[in-house]
Amino acid sequence: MILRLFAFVIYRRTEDSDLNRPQEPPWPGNGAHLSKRAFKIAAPPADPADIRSGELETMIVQPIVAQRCPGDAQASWAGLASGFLQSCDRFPDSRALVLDDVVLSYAQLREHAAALAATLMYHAADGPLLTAVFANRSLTAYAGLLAALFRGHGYVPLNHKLPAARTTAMLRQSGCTALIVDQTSESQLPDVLSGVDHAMTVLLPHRREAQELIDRWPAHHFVAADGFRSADSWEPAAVSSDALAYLLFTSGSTGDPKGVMVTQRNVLAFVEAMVERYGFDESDRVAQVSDLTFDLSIMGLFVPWQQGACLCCPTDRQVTKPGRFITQNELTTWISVPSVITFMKRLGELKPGRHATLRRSLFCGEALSLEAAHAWQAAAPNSIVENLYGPTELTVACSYYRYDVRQTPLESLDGIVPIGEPFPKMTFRVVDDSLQDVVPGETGELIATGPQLSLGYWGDSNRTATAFLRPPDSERTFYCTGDLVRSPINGEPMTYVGRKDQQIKILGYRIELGEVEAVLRDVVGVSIAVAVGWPRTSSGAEGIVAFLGTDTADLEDVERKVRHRLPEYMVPREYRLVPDIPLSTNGKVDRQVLLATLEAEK
Amino acid sequence: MASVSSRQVRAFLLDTYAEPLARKGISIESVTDDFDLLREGIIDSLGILDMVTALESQFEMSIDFEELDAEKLTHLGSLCRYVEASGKRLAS
Repeated sequence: MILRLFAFVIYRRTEDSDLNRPQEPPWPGNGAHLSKRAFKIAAPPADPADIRSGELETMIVQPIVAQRCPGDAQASWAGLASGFLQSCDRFPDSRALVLDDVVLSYAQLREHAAALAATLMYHAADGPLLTAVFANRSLTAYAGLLAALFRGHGYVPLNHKLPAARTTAMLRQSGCTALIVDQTSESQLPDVLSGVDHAMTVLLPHRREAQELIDRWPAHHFVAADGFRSADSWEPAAVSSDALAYLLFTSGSTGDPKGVMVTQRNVLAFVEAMVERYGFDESDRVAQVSDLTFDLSIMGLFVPWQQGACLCCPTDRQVTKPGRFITQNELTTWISVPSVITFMKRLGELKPGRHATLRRSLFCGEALSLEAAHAWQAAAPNSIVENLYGPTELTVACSYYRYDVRQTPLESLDGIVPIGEPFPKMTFRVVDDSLQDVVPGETGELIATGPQLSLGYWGDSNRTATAFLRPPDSERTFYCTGDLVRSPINGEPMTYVGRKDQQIKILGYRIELGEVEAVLRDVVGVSIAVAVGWPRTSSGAEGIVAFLGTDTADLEDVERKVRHRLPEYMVPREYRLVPDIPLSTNGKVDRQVLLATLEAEK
Repeated sequence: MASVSSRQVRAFLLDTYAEPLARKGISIESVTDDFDLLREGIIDSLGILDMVTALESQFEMSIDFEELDAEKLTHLGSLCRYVEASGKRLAS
């Protein structure tokens, strides 16, 4: 039933049912590859923004007709995986991945991924052009997302640290019928599968056989390592640059996570801009710290892989001492959210000169304070320190700023390092509520467009239409970030001011307070629940305090139910019962009064 | 500043985490020195900062955790001995 829901978005393969034949044609030439196009687009657009000039709704809801367009120049071989594959040819024996005591060369990692891709193409030939990867910080995780790309799919990252109910919702929403699972995540698999009512093909590379799962879930198809195809049988799948590279879910204000559709073209443009600015080569050793469900991971994966660098992925335990991890692995590049700086400082890991191996330190995902940048630069004297900015909808990051010990304090606003200037191919505007440019020096909302502009929200044209708009004086569609910035004067770097709406950042995780509130209203059964970020930090908030509009509630029960539905970082740290939640004059909840209450208690 | 024994640190930590321990059905008596707060899910990596803050304010000293390995940071016995040693270092 779910499949039917999504059938309008996705072309389901109906031909080539002979499983013994290669499932994907090799490279363009026979034209058949284009029968796999995810979207019906009459002429390939030069800029994804152009797709959206009035066509977006049509494009997303129109039934997809399998079509062959032999002349389509937009099809590109292997898409996002092409950089990795080129490095496999150039540096087959170089290290591609270090995972605790497991070290894999490019050739070895390609072999793992190719075997998974061949197996997916053999056992899961039908279904949408998306493969879910339920794995984290494991060989299966990295080989799994490469396998999805190798077979011409986009990947949907899932995370066992999230509540099973949330993972199930993502799986259902995406309509994925193929799933790759690692050992750690398998313990959550029964809970996740019990909520999925369409047949799944599940690959379990850590198991030799899967008889007990087959017996337990006859409706699903399980393939363990014994049933895998050989890497040799993988044939590269052609990919349209308008096909999805990944579908990443972020917090949605009305209670459901929303899936951001990022295309191959979007992410290739991002990688190109990153390589242009930061170089990277085969001597680099790069931290891959972020979970795959956080798009900052893309920066630490595909940029270094394109250049033949080695990724070093800490285990969940190694993450607790990031400084030790940098030293032990002689890292040249650090990529993380700025919160890690505070964390390391508290653990005594940020003493001046301590991280001399670092050449590049890239911070992204939340506001970078001047104090944190300063401490990092002192600890990593040979490193450039960069502040990158970008919402998921604009593909990981789309602006950068280089910290300078003398210049940055003069350019910062309220102790926050500027977000700088847009990537060369991206266009920024700072606008008022009617999408007109504000006067330089004034504060307005940042809107952006360019090759990294994503396609919008999966299966949700209403939300897409709300956030992706065309200003009255423009032919191009812009994404409205909801971030308030100060419009630069005379080429100054752009500075971040705050959020326009009720979105906050906790440790780089983007949280719509409205989503927390929707869950609270439902769980507690009240009409008003307010979530506020508290205590405030320079980069967002440390946690959430919830106000419930009632004088009685079983808070233990509320806590348990909330934990069942929301990820750890969205669960309120504290609940307060306030039967008369203050309302402002226009009848809206007065958050300022609630915040003032918390402020007064400090 | 008074000196701190690893026994005191242990008592303080078990008291601090009494609620999550109880939720997991772990009795305080059964907790050995080998107990790992991270592995057992009593704290997550983010909880480490809270733990550091709590230890420092309880024992009124600033502790430099740089020398403690990731494996030992949340390992009850190692952590308690480290805090005790830090106290002695500061006192001397």
